[in-house]
Amino acid sequence: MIPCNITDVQRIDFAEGIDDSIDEHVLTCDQCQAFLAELWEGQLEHDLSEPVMRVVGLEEFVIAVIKEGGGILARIGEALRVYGMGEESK
Amino acid sequence: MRSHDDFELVAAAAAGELEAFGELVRRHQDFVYGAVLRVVRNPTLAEDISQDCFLRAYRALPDFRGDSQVRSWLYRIAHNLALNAVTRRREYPTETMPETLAATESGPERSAEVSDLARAMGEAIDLLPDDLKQPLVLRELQHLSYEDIAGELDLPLNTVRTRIFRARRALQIHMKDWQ
Repeated sequence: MIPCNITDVQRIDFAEGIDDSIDEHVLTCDQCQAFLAELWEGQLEHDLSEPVMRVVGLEEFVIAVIKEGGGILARIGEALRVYGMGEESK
Repeated sequence: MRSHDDFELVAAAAAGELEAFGELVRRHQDFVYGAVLRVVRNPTLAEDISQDCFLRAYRALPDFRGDSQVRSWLYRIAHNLALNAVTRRREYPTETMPETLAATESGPERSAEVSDLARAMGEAIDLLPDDLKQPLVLRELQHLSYEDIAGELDLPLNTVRTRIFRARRALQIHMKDWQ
């Protein structure tokens, strides 16, 4: 693990939007992310898993139902393949 | 170990175990939301983007190579989405959020197509008569077994199977324009 020299004060300033200078660093630093995860715990007022899983379930269902349909499957498969190949998925 | 568990959950979710992905969402939703909120400064918008983040992560599961921690992977997705939303809000201040979310560098047309299809499917399900819709929803969206559905609806097992079959067939007919 690469040593992290960022202080907790810097991390808190980053979390509060006061200092963005460690933006690039945080993207890849497990220690900073662990600190932020602890800091942000309990902030969210609603459980997102229900709406997210509803959409996931529906998408899986759509794909399953249309499997016998032929052409649409190829379009969806291609859509999902392309959709999952953006920069964020790397 | 937490990170090890994350990798196991990703592998399970990629293999089709939806509940594994649900556990990942519950585990990391506060972190993702915090990361997004830090950038967009709007709680409602941050929730929408956080949901979108997890949906994109789900669709990208096959591409996750395990080179980074799962949390780090989610952070990168969330960060990119949040920055995109802020940028687009500056460029198109009156644009509504769904359009903002739909347009990313990873394929807005494809994303829109999946969303449109899911919406159309939802409408098609709504049009089904209740005797077909109930068993279908219990089976496909709530993932109950045929036996559990039969018990839930107080119907013979074969009736449940038949109705689900008929419901699927009705949906296929309704969705034929998408082929």
